[in-house]
Amino acid sequence: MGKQMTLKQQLLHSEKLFTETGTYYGIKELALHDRDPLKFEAFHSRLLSTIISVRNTMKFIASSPAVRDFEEFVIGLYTPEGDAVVLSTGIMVHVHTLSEFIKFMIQNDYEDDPRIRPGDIFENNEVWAGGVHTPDVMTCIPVFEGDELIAWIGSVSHELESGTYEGPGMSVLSPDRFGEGLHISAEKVGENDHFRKDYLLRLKMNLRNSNWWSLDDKAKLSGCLMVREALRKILDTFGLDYYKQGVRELIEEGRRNFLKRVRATMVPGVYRGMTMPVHKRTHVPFVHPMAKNDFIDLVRTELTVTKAGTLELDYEGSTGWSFHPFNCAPGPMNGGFWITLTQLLAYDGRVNDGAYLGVTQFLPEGSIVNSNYSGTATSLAWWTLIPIFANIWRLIGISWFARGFIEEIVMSTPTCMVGVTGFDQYHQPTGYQNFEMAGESFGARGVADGMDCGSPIWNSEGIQGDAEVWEMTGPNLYVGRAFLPDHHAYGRFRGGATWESLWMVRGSQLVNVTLSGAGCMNGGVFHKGMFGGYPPPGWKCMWASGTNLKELIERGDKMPTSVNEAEAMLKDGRITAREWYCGPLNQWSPNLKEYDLFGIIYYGGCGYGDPLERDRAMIEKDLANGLMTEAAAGEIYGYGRTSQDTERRRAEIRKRRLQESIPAEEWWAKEQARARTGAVGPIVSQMFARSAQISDALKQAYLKFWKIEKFPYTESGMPEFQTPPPTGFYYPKSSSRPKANGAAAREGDVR
Amino acid sequence: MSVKGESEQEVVRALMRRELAWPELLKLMREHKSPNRFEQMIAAVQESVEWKEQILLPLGENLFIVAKEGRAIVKTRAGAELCAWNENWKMKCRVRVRRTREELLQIYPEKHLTIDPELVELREFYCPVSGTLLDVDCVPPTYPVETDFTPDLATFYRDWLGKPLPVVL
Repeated sequence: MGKQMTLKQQLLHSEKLFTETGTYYGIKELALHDRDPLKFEAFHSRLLSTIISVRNTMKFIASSPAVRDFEEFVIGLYTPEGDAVVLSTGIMVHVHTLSEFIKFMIQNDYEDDPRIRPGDIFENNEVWAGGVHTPDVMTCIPVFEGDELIAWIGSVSHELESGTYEGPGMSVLSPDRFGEGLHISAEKVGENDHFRKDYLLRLKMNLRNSNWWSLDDKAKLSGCLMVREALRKILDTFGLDYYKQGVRELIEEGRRNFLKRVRATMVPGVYRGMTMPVHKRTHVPFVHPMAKNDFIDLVRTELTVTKAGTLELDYEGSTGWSFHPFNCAPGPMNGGFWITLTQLLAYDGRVNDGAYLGVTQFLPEGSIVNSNYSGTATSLAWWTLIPIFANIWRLIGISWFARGFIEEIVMSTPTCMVGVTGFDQYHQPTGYQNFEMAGESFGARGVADGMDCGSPIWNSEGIQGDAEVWEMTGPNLYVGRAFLPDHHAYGRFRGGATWESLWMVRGSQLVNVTLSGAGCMNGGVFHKGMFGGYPPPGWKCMWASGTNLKELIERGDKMPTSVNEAEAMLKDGRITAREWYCGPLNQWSPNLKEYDLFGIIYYGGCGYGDPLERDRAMIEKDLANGLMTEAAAGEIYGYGRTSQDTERRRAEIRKRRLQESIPAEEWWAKEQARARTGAVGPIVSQMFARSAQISDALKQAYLKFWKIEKFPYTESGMPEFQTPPPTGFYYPKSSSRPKANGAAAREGDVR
Repeated sequence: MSVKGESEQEVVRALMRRELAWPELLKLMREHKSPNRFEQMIAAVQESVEWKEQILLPLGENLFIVAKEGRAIVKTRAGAELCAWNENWKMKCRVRVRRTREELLQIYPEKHLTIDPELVELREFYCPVSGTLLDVDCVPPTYPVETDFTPDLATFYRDWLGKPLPVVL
């Protein structure tokens, strides 16, 4: 049937079948599976083992440190219509963004122009074509049997440098897409299994360090070609008809398994959350005028687990997109949910796009989760995605708790990030983010503390990597890398222990750093903890230029080994500096040089349960490991030297809690006057007003809760302007939930 | 079957009490999810509370929806009966709102604290009977108090578990 249809007709046919039947490709029975389950299992195993073994091989062919040492890549096999069949571990957000990329090419008639032929190589990092941001570069090849396209193979790597205005691969301060580097907008970049020379020249001319990008391109292309070769043998074994039917049955089975898993482990209902990343740039001296503002990107999240076992995510009430690189679009949001699916709900059995068919996201147009400006920047969409989806992990944890599967509960972690730009120790221009951030500590679990030095939400294989590799990658020498006592999120189970790094510039006379954190910087909080657990106390970074570290070293004096120690030494004069900063505001440092300092605290995830229920043995383990001081353990956990002391202290704290608290309704009666006048700081006031500009969801909830008639927040602090959406091509779209359902969505919240 | 059932119940009781060692937890994470888990967990939790009302759904470590006189209500482990199952139980708790740096410093070390109280306030919701901390919200000042979860009890019991719901909603 496929041979008579164009790819676009095939894609539309597949979508029509799903809409009409509710099953993938209209499959009612898993005929191949039912006829011979063992053969079907062998078929899946051959495909999956091919993908996994290729991933482990390709990073040793040619690759950058990000791929070789920090696992920043993924590879997957797709149907002709672009649906994921099997995929590797790694940055699994891109299993779905690759899918969107393939569908973008099909929907925009690439079959006619620029044509899709055997040996072609396509590449993309474009948000309108399903990508997330410029550093995540997708490489994709079609697989033909005769003249029929039977599959796509795609791979994605994260590039440390992507030609941004600031330098590192991800821009923190760009107001729009024109500062976020080299866009490869769903382009044909190779033919006959080779990258085109004009493409490689383009990389050389538009990147500070094109070697990393082109080496990773070669690794990805090699991986795709290895899978293509392996596919030939699989076709020889199973036959083309079996393959074509088999991959579709695998996806339908994945869809069914996903619904079954939701119904077996979750509880239907409505789950609510909010995140509020704080962004400040008025203190940064070198920012585009359009981007020079301070604001909160509020995201309201409502997760509905339906009777059928599908999941619906609604973000009504979120604030709008604006001139910063934290905007999202359907591609990034779908990818963001994919990392949730693959790590929490569909991590075994048939992990493929079938699971995705059980999810609907309602992304209000013009909001931070669905920017509709053609020039929008998404270079750091992750600073919105990470808090959103980490909070959704928490909501799923509430569901597992209610169902009794407490061993599954896990909370994630923010990402805190150092970017380095300038000239490196080899006298070459450079720009990169230090991916040791891929080893940040988890939030708490339902049965254990959060993993210390875990992995981020965006890479299931994430690791810190060796300090020595980073010292070779850029002009920085580690002077400290250690855990930070008393900084974790408190709870019966604590968040993973916070750690930090401090560097001295080495081998460069001209370099600067950007320092920021996802959802936790500028005085904000990542998201709330679970069942009485707290968030960590805050985030900090530092830099110091024109220091006397050279003299300290020559005298053999004590060097700083942590951010707080460096701050103390700067304050008491042991370290002198021309300029320095240490605190919670995101930074773009002035130029630094040999012997200057910079550092960052990697804030961990949130806590679980009342801290007074923490097991004494766990507290004592932290004391023994230097992760906590006895004074803090006494104050927070009511810890005493004996069980009796501990019980007594805990009883005193509970008594004090009751004495120092008031009935919530009494608090409401007092607070109502403030809510009526809106007597809050300007950033919070503007956040409420920005939410009301595009939706009345939060405004109505506010009026209802406070029992007032007039919403006090009217000044958004944003200039009035109109922007055009992209035109002239297909791109992934989403919109608000139809109003009829939305009105009743928060009916559980009644006073 | 009864031996297996009993053994599963013991494991779930130990899980609820957090008495399982990591290898046992890992085994639970890896193995097939038991269709009996909900009933077994409810039985384990029911044993751990001092009151008699039937637990319909756990909402938190110390917070439950229970059946009382044919209605579903929210009740704490210490016995405080807060409100109907779908009302805002937080508004029936005692609350401590931390909205100044001084108030935040009572829980966080000074050298680590960078949360800006102008942007975020911490609302601690306590059980009015025991002083147990039930939840901590981190929200901008004046943000409405919302509950994190409103279950669809009817669908859960009747359609998913295939059991009668012993209350009128």
